[in-house]
Amino acid sequence: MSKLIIGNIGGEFIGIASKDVLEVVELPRSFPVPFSLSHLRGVAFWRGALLTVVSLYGLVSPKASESKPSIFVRSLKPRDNILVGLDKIEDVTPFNDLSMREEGAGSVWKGIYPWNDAWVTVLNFERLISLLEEEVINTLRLGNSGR
Amino acid sequence: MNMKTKLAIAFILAVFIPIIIGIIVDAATSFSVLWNNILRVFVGLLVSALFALIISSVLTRNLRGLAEAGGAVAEGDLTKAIAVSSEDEVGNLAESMRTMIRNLREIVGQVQKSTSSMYEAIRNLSVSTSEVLTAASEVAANVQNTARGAEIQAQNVEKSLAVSNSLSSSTSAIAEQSGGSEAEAQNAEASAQEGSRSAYEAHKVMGEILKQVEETASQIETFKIHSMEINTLVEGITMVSHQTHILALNAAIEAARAGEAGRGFAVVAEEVRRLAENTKDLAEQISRLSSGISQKTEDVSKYMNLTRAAARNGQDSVEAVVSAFDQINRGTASTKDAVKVISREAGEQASAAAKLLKAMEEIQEIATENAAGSQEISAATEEISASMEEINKEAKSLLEEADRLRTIVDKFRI
Repeated sequence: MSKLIIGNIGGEFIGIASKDVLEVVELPRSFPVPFSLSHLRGVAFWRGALLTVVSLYGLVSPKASESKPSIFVRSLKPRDNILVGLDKIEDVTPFNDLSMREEGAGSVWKGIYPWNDAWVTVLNFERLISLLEEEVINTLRLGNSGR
Repeated sequence: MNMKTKLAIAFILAVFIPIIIGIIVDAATSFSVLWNNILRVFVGLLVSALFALIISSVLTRNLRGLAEAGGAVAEGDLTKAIAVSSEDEVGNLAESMRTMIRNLREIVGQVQKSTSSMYEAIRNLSVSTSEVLTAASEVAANVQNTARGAEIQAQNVEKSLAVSNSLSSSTSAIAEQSGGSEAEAQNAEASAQEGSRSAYEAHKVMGEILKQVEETASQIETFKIHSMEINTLVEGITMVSHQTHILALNAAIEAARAGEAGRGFAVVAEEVRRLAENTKDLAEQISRLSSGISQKTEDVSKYMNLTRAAARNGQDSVEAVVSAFDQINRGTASTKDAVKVISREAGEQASAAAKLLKAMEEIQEIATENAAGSQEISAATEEISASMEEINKEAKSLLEEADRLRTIVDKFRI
């Protein structure tokens, strides 16, 4: 039985499938990386692993860029070393793929899903993590990672 | 031999002696008769003239003495002695003239003496009348001043009477008011004492209030500390519920990953998540309530501090009121005594003012009479002054007359 984790980023509801999530954690102490991209907030140590902390505010809501995420969803696939910040987790609800509308193909957006009286934008979390990982790698290749 | 006889003899001698001498010469000589006759006539004339001269000289000698004496008398000289001593009419005339001169001397002497005395008397009179006139003028001026003064005095006395009347009314009113003020002062003293007792009671009550306020403030401080502790505990509960919520989320994720095997665990995880959310909601409600209580407690603490400050101020104010009432008590006691003295003195003053008013009325009558009398005296003095002026004028005129008389009389030498 699959679950959909419904989070809130800048007033926008974001849905993440539980099968793509390793765990939900509170914000660990993070360290900013100099000269990195704006949505790369830094790195954090969590339970013996070095994790990359990412903010999706610029992606889902430009006005939410001033907010600070309080809870993070740790990716499971393809890599488990990225934390995506959310303002809040609204609900964990049963997820049925048949209820999805306008399913995307190869995009970071998988589609919209009904939740209560609203629609939740469901992320293709695996695809998003892959892109972020590539971006992080590219950043490191350019020598601007702040090592 | 009288004067007539002497003249007859002189005439006879003057006529007949030349004739006799001619006849004698005519008879002795007959030559040259003409020349002889002329010589004879001439000689006869010379002899007759000589005799006539001798006789007239004898005859007029006494008359010249009388004439000289009369001339001296006419000049006022009564000292001239008449040296004529004959038994004829000239002698009688000389005797009469002596008697007349003697009498005149006596009369003139007395007149001179009287004139001199009269002149001195008149001069003294004139001086006296001048002095009297000056004095009378001064007296008139003084009397006039006195009359004016008496009139002003009468006017002033009238004004003083009006003032005294007003003063008497005022003092009577003051005496009446003083009587009322004495009662008011007693009432004020009683009120002040009552106020002082009330102020003492208020001070006592304010002390109790302040004590209660201090106790309440202390209790509120304790309550505030407890509220803060509750907030801390609620924060802990909130944190635990949050952690439990996250834990339930992760449990739900794990249960979902476990598939059918994790279905029961998913139910438990869901229940735990709901419990965590309920706990979180309750904690949030408690937190809100606690925050409200804390806020209210803070407000109450603030108000209590204000109340405590107000109570202290109130106590200070009541202390000031107590002190003020003490001073008022002392003041009212002094005022009561002073008002009593004032009332008594005002009564005496009113009595004295009434007496003064009566005396002033009498003084006014006397002053009015004095003014009228002074006016009469002034008029009489002016009349006296005018009369004295007339007398002085007459005395001066008399003095001039006496001076002329004395000058005339002094022409006689006695």
